[in-house]
Amino acid sequence: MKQWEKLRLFFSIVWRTSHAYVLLMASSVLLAGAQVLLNVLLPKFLIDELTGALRGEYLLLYAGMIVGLNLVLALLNSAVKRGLDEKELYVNNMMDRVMAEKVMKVPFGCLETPEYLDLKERALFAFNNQSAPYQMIRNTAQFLQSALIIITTLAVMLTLSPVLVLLLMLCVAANLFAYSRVMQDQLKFYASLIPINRKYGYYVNLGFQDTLQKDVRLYDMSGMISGRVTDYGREISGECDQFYKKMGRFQGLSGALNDLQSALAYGYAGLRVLGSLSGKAPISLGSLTMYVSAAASFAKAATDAGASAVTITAMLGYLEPFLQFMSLPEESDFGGTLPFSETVESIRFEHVSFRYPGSETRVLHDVSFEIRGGEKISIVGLNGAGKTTLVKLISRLYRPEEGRILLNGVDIFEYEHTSYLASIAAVFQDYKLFAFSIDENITGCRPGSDLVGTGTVIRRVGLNEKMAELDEGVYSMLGKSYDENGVELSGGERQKVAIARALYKNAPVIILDEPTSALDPLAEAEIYENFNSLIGDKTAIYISHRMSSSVFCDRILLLDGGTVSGFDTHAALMEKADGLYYKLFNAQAENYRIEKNV
Amino acid sequence: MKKSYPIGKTLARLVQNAWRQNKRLFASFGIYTLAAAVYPMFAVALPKLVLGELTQPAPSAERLVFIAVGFFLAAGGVGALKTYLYYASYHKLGLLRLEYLRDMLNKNLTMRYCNTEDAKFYDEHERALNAANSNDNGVEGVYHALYETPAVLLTVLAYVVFIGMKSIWILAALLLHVAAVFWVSRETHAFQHGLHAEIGHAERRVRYYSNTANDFSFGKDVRLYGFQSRILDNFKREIDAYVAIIARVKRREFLLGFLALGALLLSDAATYGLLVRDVTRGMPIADFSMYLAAVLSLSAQLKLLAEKAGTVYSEGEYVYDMFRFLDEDLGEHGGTHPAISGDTLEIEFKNVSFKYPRTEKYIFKNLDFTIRKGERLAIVGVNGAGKSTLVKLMTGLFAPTEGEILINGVPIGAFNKKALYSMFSAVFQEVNTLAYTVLENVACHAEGDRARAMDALERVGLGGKVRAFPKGLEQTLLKIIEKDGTELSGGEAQKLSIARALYKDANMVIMDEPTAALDALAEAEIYENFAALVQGKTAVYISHRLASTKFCDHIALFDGQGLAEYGTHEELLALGGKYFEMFTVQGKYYNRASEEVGA
Repeated sequence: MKQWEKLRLFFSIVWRTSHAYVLLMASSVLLAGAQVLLNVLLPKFLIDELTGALRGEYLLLYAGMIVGLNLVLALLNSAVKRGLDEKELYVNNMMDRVMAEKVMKVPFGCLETPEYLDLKERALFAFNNQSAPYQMIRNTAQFLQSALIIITTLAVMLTLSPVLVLLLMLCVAANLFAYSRVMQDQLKFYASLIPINRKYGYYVNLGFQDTLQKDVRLYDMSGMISGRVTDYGREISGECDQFYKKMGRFQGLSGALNDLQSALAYGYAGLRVLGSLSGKAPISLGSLTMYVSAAASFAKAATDAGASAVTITAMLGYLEPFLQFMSLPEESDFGGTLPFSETVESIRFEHVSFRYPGSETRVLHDVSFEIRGGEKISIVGLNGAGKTTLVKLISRLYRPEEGRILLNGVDIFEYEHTSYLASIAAVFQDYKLFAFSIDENITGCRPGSDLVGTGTVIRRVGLNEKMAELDEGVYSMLGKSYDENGVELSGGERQKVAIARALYKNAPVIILDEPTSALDPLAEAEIYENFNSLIGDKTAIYISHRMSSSVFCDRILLLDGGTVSGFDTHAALMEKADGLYYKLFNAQAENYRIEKNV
Repeated sequence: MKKSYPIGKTLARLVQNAWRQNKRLFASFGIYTLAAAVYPMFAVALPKLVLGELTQPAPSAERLVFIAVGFFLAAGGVGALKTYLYYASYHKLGLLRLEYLRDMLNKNLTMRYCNTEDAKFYDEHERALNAANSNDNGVEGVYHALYETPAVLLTVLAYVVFIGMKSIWILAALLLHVAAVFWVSRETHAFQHGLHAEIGHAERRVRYYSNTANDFSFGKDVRLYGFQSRILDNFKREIDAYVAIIARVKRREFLLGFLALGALLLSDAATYGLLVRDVTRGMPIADFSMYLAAVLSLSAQLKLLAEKAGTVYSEGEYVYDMFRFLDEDLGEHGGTHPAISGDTLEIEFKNVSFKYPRTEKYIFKNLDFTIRKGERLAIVGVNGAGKSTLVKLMTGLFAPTEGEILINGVPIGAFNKKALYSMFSAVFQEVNTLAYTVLENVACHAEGDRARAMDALERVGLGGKVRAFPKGLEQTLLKIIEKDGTELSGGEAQKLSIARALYKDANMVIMDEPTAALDALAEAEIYENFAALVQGKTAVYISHRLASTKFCDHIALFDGQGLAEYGTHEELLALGGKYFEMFTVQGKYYNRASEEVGA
């Protein structure tokens, strides 16, 4: 992305987030400009009066104006600052939300592609560790403010002499020239620091990651972690050492150039007071004061502008991942317009092949089969056979690389996005619940929006006793990460809530991927035995490593290395004694067979 | 009322640490202080000298030029020196921070485990843990402020004397104004501090939404169940609530600000009024300019001083908390007993009761139970029966609330913590693969034994896979550190964690649900190899899959109350209790199906 393009995109997001913020920012820029102008112009009149007629009422007027107008500006400033501080906090947090909104809208495939995961991590790193939006906005305001001051002070000084302006500009040019050299270093420095910082951050976070602490202690990993932290810390320090010395030399030079500008302004204006420059009319001491303070403001503004420009460039670098992420296409851009009807007659895979974006290996290869409406099937296969991938494709989380998936004879991507997703309820093995109330988790709507419906599914998954135990029942917040009064449910209970959510959705297709892995044998059996009644006449797809579950299904889709190696009933598949299904089933079954011998 | 903290001691310790780490820093500090203290005075002297020359009876252009050049050389030189030193030492102070951060990390990695499961512990130490997190706050904020403050203080003192000698009233009005500004900022700060619980609460809620909504792993459920608007609405609501609290602080600051504005008016009026009066009474205009510049400069420097002193004081408290955290005995050492060598373990629970810290419910009450030397014990039970807690107790990750645990007759608390942990090879259900090389992931040390690691990987069936990596054992896992890093599947990661346990080759083996992510064949493979994996050592195997109990010598069944049944597989089936029930329930569909097929 071009720098301008990035700037434009960033500020259009800020503008959309809060108009008030941008307007307040503009006001504060104008106020700062007015304050400089005021303190450059007014003292001239006071000093001229002091070195001239010394009329009491004029002295009072000028001094009163300086004091009074400064007071008014200070008042305005504090009012603007109040609003600005508030809006700044708002905008900074809302930027996070803007990002979140986008995360929820991009095609799901992006979320499992390491490239985009990395992009998001870098975007959030810029937010959380560099306060990039804040810095960006602040420095843009600073830059505009400096620019305004440069223009006004230049205008003042031009009334004295283009020569002085030229001299001062030369100083600024020298400064900018030096800056451009340092800026290269600075950008290089930032660029080299980003990846090191990221690695450093990873290992520091690793050290504080709660799920790792058991391993850390039992496997004595502390040395390994703190070793990396030390190494990357040194690396950061090494990068800084060189850069900061360079920066120090430059800043020192830059400061000296500012002092040179003061010397030039005083020297030149002083000579003009003396009238020793030929052909120029002498100026008053008041004018001298005005011009030197204009020069001082000019020099400071020029330095500030340079510094903010560099920070802006650096922040644009940090914000680039965010802006790239914001430019990704959205899920609803794909998919068709056909609204999906309520009944499922068939789901058909036609020569579907698939590999994950950015990956070399094909997960599914030329997969064809057809599930009839209302049928209950189980997908069985070894780890990595493509079971979960297959149901992700049905859920339209990815697009097949080749072939088509047809629902009722129509390519699923021809259906309109929302209505298609409404037809599928899936519980994935890595299902997530939110720190909302249990009832919100199930309905996805405001608390209490459908108590009857919630109650029904809670009973059907066997959670009603648990709910009765809780002080606030289904209104209890899940987990303590959001609300300290929240309830912690066990893994098995959480899994039941997830299943209840799927049932509540009442979609014609239900997918359960390892839905009972966290359940103990008794709870598992409870779900198994109720499985068919839970699901009713819906079309169901079931994945489990526990082979006993496939006994319940009408047919079993056997996947082997990404291809279909069988699609038949349990009994039929068991007849092939050398088949994978037979092996899988017996590997588990033989451990239970002892019962018959007792 | 907020309790104060020993600021002197805290600062002294920071300075001593800097002295130990980097003495040259102090030389740079000394020169910086002198240069930075003198530098602002040039800007006050210049107008005085120039206007003085111009208002002389016989002003000279040469002398004027001389003044300008002299100013440039003196101010430019001193200014450049001060600026260079500031930059050159800036990150050296940052490095001191990184060392403290590492110390805290080490503390976190070695302190007693139960703290790491305790959200309250982290809440209580939040300030300490944040003390080394940024350039501008905590340790580094204080270091920078300490570096800069003495120079500001010197300048201020010089100005105070200088202006005070001119007019005590101007000085008094000026001091009043700065005091008012400072007071407003302290008052606002105190007000905000009074709201800190509310603010912390609001921040945590905002953070929850930020983390959840930006977490890709929520993506599937968000899409399939249409949680987008739910999350975004709630997120906005929390942001608004958070901003509303801060808005109260800002409103207060704004209102109090009128006081500071009043003081500003007084100070400006006194300065201009008195100086103008003096000019009308014959004070040279050069002095007018000089004093005006001096007043402006003093006002700026005083505000700077107040700000720096404020930083030292308020950020120093974070540093103090950090020192307390680092000094506190958080049980990182344990006792002195060395690890048991050349023998496997016997673990005896004597009348052990346990509840998690800050909870009421006992997981175990009066548990008496022994894991015998060399035995392979399966621990089974319903969800929530405390199976994993048992593991945490026997490995010393948690201490029993009451009663005693003995390892080979030695109380578990007597062992040195590192020695104690070294005696267990444990595999947990949740597998952590780290962005390190395969070798480091297996050996858990920077310098692992390659042959031993390869052997462990072969034994869990990952040998071929690792050999096929372009960099073999040196292949980095995950993509976060190296772009071409390798991501393992769930099953492979599980095997890697078993290899880790094999490599460690500790006195005793513990496996907590290690096959949950594995398919039936891989699971069977682990079961079959279990005997070879444990090699005659005492081994504990926890699983929901009761089939796993077959290769164990004994089975301990825990229900919600504690140890309910203990015996061999056959004994427990014969007993016809809970184990029998669970086993038949889990097995019945396999058996029914087999019968149907067999028939």
